[in-house]
Amino acid sequence: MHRPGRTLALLSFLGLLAGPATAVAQGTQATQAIEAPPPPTPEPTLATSPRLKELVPADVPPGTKFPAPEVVVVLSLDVSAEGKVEKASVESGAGEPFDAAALSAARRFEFEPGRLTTGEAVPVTVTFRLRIQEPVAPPPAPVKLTGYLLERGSRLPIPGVPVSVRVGDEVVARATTDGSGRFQVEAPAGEFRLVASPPDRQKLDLLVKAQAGEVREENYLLESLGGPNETVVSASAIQREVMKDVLTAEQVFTVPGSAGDTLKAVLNLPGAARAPFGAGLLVLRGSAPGDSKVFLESQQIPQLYHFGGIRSTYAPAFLQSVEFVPGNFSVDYGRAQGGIIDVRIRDPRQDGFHGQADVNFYDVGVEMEGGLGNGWSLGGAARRSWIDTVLPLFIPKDANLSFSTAPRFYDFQFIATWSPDASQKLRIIFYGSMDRLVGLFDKPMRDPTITGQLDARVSFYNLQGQYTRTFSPSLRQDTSVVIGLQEISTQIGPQYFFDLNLRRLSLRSTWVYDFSSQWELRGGIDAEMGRASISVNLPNSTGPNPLPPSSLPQIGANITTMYYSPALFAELRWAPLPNLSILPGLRANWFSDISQWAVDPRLLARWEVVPGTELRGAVGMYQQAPAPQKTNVATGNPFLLPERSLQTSIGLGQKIVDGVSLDLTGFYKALTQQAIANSASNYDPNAPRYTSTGTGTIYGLEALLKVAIGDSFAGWLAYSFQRSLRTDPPDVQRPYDFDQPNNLTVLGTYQLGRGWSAGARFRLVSGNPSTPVIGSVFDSATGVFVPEYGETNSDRLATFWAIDLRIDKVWTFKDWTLTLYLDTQNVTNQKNQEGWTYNYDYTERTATTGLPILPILGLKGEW
Amino acid sequence: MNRPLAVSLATVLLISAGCTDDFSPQSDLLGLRVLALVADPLELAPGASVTVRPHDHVPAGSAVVSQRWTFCPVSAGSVAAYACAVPQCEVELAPAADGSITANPTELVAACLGFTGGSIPPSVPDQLLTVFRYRVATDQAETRDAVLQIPQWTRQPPPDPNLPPVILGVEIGGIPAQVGVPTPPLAVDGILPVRLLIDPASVQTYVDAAGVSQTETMTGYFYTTGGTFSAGITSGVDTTTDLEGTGFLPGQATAEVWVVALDLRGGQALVGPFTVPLGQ
Repeated sequence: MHRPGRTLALLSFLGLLAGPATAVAQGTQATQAIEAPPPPTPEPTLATSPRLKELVPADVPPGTKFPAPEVVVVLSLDVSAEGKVEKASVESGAGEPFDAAALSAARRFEFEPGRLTTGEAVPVTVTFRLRIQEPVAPPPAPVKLTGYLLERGSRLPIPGVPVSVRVGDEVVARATTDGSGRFQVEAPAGEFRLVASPPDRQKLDLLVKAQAGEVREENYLLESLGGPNETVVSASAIQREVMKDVLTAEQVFTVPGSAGDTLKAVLNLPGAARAPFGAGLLVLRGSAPGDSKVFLESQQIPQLYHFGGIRSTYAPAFLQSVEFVPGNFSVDYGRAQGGIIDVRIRDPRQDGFHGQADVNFYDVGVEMEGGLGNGWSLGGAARRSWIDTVLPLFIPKDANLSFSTAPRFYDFQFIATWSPDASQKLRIIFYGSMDRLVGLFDKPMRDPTITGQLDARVSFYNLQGQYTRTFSPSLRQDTSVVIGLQEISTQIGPQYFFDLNLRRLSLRSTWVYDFSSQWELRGGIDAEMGRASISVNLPNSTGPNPLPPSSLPQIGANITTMYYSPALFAELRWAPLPNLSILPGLRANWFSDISQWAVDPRLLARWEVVPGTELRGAVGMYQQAPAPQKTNVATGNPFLLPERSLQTSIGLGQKIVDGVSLDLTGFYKALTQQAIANSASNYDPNAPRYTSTGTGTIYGLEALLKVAIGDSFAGWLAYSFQRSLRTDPPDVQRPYDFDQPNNLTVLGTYQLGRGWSAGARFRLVSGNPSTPVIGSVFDSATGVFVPEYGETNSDRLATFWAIDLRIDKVWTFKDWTLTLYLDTQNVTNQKNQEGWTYNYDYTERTATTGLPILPILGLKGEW
Repeated sequence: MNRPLAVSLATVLLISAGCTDDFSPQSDLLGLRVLALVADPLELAPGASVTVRPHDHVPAGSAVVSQRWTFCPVSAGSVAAYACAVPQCEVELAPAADGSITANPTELVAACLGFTGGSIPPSVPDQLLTVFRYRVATDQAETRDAVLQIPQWTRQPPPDPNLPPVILGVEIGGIPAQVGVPTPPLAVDGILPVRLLIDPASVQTYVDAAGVSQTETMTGYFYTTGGTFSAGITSGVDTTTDLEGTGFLPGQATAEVWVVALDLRGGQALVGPFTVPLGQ
C-alpha cells in the first residue's frame, strides 16, 4: 500500500476542505451580489509510486540457519524525492540476523522517486517485502567424468541410455549415451551416485568418490538380463599413486601465505620441504632439488621459479588443478628419482568473452579468453613484475651492489583449443618466461674476482601441442609434442660467465586399451632430445660448502652437444576384485649422455578394505641421469651410471566423518649410484671429477588431515617426519642439506559472509643442517681467507616458524567481480635464520635471516 | 636452472647480503695479520729453488715467538683448506732469521713420489700445485695461518712464467708516500685519498686451465692501523680509495698503512708501512 507524504497529504486535505467552505461562504453572499466563483483547482495527487531500480541483496552471515528456504521481512521505507532511502524500519520481521540484513540492504536501495500528477518528485513512504533466500554457496570445481556403457562380454556400446548423477535423492546432472556408448557429465566433488537403467540389462547404480577438479574416464560393463550376475558392475577408479593430492585453482589462489602462486600453494602439502628464502628449490621427500620435476600437462617445465624464488614461472590464469605426487609416481613419468608435480590447465571458456586483471605487490597480470565458434576457444595471459620498482627502496644506501636493471620478470601463456566432437580435442599452448637483471658492484666484494658488472638473463619458450582421441570405448590415446627453447646468459664480474642455448623436442604418447573390466593395458613413449650450446667459465666447487670463488680452480668449456633420451613405458591394471587394483609397470629409459639404459620396474596396489578405508602400497625403481655438468666430457665424467632411488611406500586413507579425512603414508628410499665430486680431481688431473659411489637413505611418515565444515571452513594439517641422509665415500654418513625431521603446516580459510573470507597458515619446521666453520687460512695469492669446515652438516640452524594471514573481500556486480586481498607473510616478523654470515676471517658470525613481514596487497577484477 | 649457475648467483647474492654487516673490515689491522707471502720465482722450473718471504703485521706490544713453515708437493685445494693431498709427504722447513724459507721443491717432490735420477713417471702430471703453509704466533697467543700455492713444472720450465705486479708508487693525500716520511694528516671525520699505481707493463696475459686467454686482474689490498678505508679492495692499475678519519683508538697519534698488489695468480708486491698522522 502506498501512502502519500504526510505533510503534503494534510495540506492537500485542508486545502480541499478550506476551498469549498470558503467558496460556499463566499458563494452565499455572492448569490446576493455576484456570480459564484469558479471551482478551485484540484490539488495534485500521487501519480506514480516509487519504483525500485535495482534490488540489493541482503547478506546474512554464512552458516545462518534459515527457518525456510525463503524468509520475508516487511519493511517501511521513507523514499526521498531523490529516490534514496532516508529511513528504514521493520514492520514485520523474521528475527535476527535477517532483520538487520534486510535493513542494511534496504538502506542501499535506489528508487525512481514517487511523482505527483504534476510530475514533481516527492518523498513517499512505502511498504516493502524483502525476500531473503537461503544462499547457495559456489560449488567446488566439478569432477569431469567421461564414461562408456558397454555390454559385458561383447563390449558392444549401449547407446541412447539416460545417465544421471545423484546426490542423495536429487539428480544433479544428466546425460545420454551416444552411439559409442559414451556420456560426459560434470559431477560434484566428493561422493555421488551414477545411475543408468538400460533396457534388458543390469542397472548401473554406482557410488563414486572423486576429488574436486579431477578428470576421469571409466568404462561400465553391464550384463544382459537373465544372466547369473545381477550385481551392479563398475570399472575401478584408476588412481595410480599411493600418495597423490590435487589442489584446485581456487585453492591455489586462496591458500594463505602463498600469494596465489601455483607451486607455493602445493608446497603446503606433506612431503614438500621448506626451501630457504630466495632459493626457489623443490625438495620432495628429502630428495635433491634436481631430482624432482614439474610438468605442464605431462611435459616438463624447464624453469620453475623467477629470480629470487618468489614467483613460479607459470601463472595460474588458466590453471585447473595441480597434482602433487611426492614419490612412487607411475611409469608415465621418469628421469626423476624424487617426486613430481603436474600442472593441469583448463580450456578457455566458450561462453562469451571473459577476462581478469590482477594487480598486487609483486606483479600485474591480465588474462582474456573466449569462444570462436566451431569448437574453437582462445585465451591468453601475461604478467610482468614490478618488484623492480620497489626493490631499490630496500637496498641500503651503503650497499655495494646497484642495479641499472633491477630484477624483473615477464611470463605469458596462450592457449587455443579445438574440440570438433566429444571424442577428440586439439590443444595448442605457447608459454614462456623471461627474467633479467643488470647490476654493478661499485667496488670489489669481499672476493676480489666479484667486481664490475652482474648481468643475468634467463628465459624459456615452449610451444606445446596436445591431441586426445577416443577411438572406441576400449581404446584411447593422448599425444603431446613440445618444441622448446631455453636461454641463459650470465656474466659475473670480468671472469665468470655461463651461456646456455638449449633447443628441445619432446614427444609423449600414451595409449590405453581396456581388455575387460579386470584388465587394462596402458603404454606409450616419452622421448626427449635436444641440442645444447654451452659456454662457461666458472669457479669449480667440488665440495658441499661455499668457498670464495677466487680460491677455486676455474672450469671452462665451449661445447655443443646433442642428447637423446627416449623412454618406453607400460603398465597393466589388474582388478581381481571390485575394490582391489594391482598395477605392475615397467619403464625403460635411454640416457645418451652416459650411454646407459635404465630399466625401472614399479608396482602399486590399492585396496578399499571397507567403504571409507583404503590401503595402498607401492615399490619401484626410479632412475635419472646425473646432472649435465657432471656427465659432460669437458666438465664432468661421461662414464657415470644412472642415479637410482628404490622407493617403497605404504599408505592408509581413512574417511573419519563427512568433511574430515586422514591420509597416512610411510616411505623408505634407498639411493645408490649417486654422482658425487671426487676430491682427488682437485690435485690429480687424471682423476675423474665425479664418481657414481654416493649413497643415501631417506625415510619418514606423512600425515594429511583435511577438514571441511560445510561451506564456511576448509583447511588441512600436514605433518611430515623425515630423515634424509647421504654418504659420499670416503666420508661418513651425514644429514642431507634439506634434512628436515619435522615439518608441520596448519592452514585454513573461513568464509565470513558478505564476500569476506579470512585465512591463516602456521608453519613449524626443523632448521636445515649447517656445516660449522672451525678455522680459516689466508690465501696469500688472492688475499682472501678460506674457511676450514668441520664435519658436514653436523650443526643445525634454529627452528623455523611463521604465521601468515590472508583476507579477501569480494564485491559481486552484475557482470563482474572485484576482489581485494591482503596476504601477509610472516605477520609476527619472525627473524627466522636461513644461514650464517661470517666476517672476513671467519672468527665472527651473525645469523642471516630470511623474509621479514611482507604484506602483499592485491586487487583482482574478473568478468 | 643449471646448478653451477645457481650456486654462483646464490653466492654472489649472499655475499651482497653480507656487505652491509657490522663486522670490522679486512682492511682494519686490529691484531696479528699475514699481509703477504711473496715468492721468488712464482713458478718453478724443474730443479729450481724458491724463496718465500712472509710480511706480517705484528701489533704494538706483541712479539713473534714462532714462525713455522711446511711444504706439501700436492695441494688438496681450498675445498680442503689447502690440506696436503699426500700427508706423508708434508715436510717442515726451517726458516731463516727473517722468517723466510728457501727450498728446492723438485727434490722434495721426487723424494715424496719416489722417483730419482730425472725419470719422472708418466702418471705424474706436467704441473703440480705445491703448497707452502706458514704459521706465525706471538707472545700474546695470537696465531695466523697462511698458504701460498706455487706451480711446480715437472718436465720443462714454465713456457710463460708468471711475474709479480710492479708497484710504481702510492700517493696519500695527493703526495707520493715514502716509508719513514709522515704523510699528510688525517683529521677526525676527515678523508685522505690513497692512490695505488701499478705498472701496466706488469699486467700479463695468459691462458687459463680452461684454455681461455685471460688478462690479469690487478687487485689492490689496503690495510691500516687507524681510521678505515672506504674500500679495502680495488681493481685496476690506477685506483684510489679513501682513508676515513673514524674509529681512532684513544691516544692514537699515528696510523700505519700498507698496500699489497696482487695479480690473483700468486704474484704479490707490498709497500709500506706509511705513517699517517692522526688529527684530533
